[in-house]
Amino acid sequence: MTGSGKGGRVLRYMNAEMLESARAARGRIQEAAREQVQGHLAAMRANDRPRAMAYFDGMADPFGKRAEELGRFRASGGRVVGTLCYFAPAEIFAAFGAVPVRFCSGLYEAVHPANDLLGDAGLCPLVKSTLGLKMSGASPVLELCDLVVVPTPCDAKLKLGEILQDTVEVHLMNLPAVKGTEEGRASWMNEIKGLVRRLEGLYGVRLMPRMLRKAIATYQRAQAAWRRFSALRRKGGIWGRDALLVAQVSFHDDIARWTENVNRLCDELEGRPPVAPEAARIMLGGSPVIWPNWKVPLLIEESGGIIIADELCSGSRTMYDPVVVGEWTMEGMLVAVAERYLVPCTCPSFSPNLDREENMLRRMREFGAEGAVFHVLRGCHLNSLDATKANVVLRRERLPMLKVESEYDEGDLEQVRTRIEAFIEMIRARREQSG
Amino acid sequence: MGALWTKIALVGDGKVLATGSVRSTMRPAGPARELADVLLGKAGLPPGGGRMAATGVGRKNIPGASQLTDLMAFSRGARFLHPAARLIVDLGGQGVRLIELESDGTMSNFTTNEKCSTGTGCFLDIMAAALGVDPAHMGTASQNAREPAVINTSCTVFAESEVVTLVAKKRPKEEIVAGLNEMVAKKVVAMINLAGTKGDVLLAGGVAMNAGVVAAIERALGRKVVLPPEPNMVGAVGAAVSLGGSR
Repeated sequence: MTGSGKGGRVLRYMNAEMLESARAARGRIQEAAREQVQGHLAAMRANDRPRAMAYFDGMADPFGKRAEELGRFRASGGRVVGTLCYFAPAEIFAAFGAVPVRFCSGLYEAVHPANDLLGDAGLCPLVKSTLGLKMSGASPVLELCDLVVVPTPCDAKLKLGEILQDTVEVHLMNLPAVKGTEEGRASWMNEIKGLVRRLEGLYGVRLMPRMLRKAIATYQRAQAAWRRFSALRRKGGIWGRDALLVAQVSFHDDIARWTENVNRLCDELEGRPPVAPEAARIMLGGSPVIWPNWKVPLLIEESGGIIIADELCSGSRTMYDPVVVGEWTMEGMLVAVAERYLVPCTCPSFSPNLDREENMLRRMREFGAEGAVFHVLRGCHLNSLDATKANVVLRRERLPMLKVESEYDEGDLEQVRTRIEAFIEMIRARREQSG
Repeated sequence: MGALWTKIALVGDGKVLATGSVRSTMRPAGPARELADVLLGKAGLPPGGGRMAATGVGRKNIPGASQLTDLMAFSRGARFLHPAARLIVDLGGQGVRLIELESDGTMSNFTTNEKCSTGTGCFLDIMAAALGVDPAHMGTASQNAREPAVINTSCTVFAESEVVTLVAKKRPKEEIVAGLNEMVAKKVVAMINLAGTKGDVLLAGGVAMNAGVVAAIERALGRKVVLPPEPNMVGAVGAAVSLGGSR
């Protein structure tokens, strides 16, 4: 059964009633999101934090100031492209003058419209929420997008990219599962070139080297600022929940302005004492934690811990690695961009993925982390399996790890809290014992 | 305070003097106090006396009691009951937890089941209901089984329908119960093996009162485990012990 969707698109999987009921939920999704955002910000502000966080707080409402700004940008002929993963290369969009906006959703209420289509099939809540967000039309920014670029790291995102085509133009990027081979790198390079061709066709512009050079340089400044910030986190001058917010404002912000504000925050952090010197130093890893799904970070930091480092694709990994260009030719730049997104990434979609365990270990030692919390979104099998592997490896090094599974609702809040409290208490007991 | 039962232990002079349990409710403070007074009476002590410590999920609902987390309570309880314990396996109403201990009794690691009730007290209660067996008799009901039935799924809902199917096929109840006990044991032993502890394993929690599960755990593990006289009281004893200083 097919029907007609917005902009003349054919509804292959959804139907008109389903979309109508999703759109009726728009107000509820927006209201719940605002409530969650304001609630979290109030909790975060109640503690000692840098003044420069005010900028990022101002950008935290997904339907707020930045949405209005992008609305005006689009109305005056600006280009906006949606992305659904770390792997969508920001430099390429920026080279076309387009603002990339990452739409992985952390909104609990947006899960419900997607359930009308998918049923409650134990699927990753992040993916369901993202689909529900599009079905409902609740995100004004997502509605502005010319195209949504969906890399395929996991089954859920693969199918999300397929189903989303009922409502928006989608470009899928086939991510190789084995990245360490010549063939893997070559296939990803082809995907990057395919994306360039798609954008050239969409905008009727040929990509010139100077356009890409400028975009790479802009992002290199952002990446440098983020690495400076990451190193400063070691001193404990900022809560992990604030650091993650800083990372995620980059999902939709003007990147030059974001860079400026990260550097401003760094200046302030240089001379700042630790916010919680006695807290248990935690490394947070696992499934993406997407604002405002701040359940796990808040629970860790309310229970006597501080997230001193993370290995999340929605946190440290977002901006950490620079694009390293060997030759500033078109080919050289495209290779550099392709490698930047593929090689250092430790997404559980890759196999083998020894980098992930090793990075976790190395960063835990570097940052003096006393334990790791490995967060797994219910239904994210890849992260669940990587958690098992990480646990074995960390245990060998006598580093404790807690795997916590959670969903997009408040129902598991107390269960997760009990586990996290106990974990932090154990770390403290270990500390007393050794010190 | 567990997910299903609130357990109270009265400890004095280095001994467990009395124990009792009531169903956990939304308002646990009243029933807990009443039971505490009954226990004090049994020990010949005046009601309302002594000091109280609370642990478990609902511990914050007990006014006037000092608080400690479950992990701490179990560690203290295990050390009190069996100082040589290096691994505590708590088979609770809604969770399976493993706590690893150093030789001085401090925790070195712990693991829990994730958000799934399989292998817990709730799981066995539901299976008992499906079989029409008294939950308290799940341990002894399997004693005469010739061959345990194989339960393929660990999901509570599907396992229940598997059990119903086995009943319909006229499989003897004792064999189905034995199969369930084996299944629970297998899951628990996998967690124990991952912890890799060489020292004494102490079982705690209500499910440890099920002799069938305990025997199946020992078989799968290939060695004896330590079973305290009242495994469901380990946490409560630990909470009480925590009031008396380090011992």
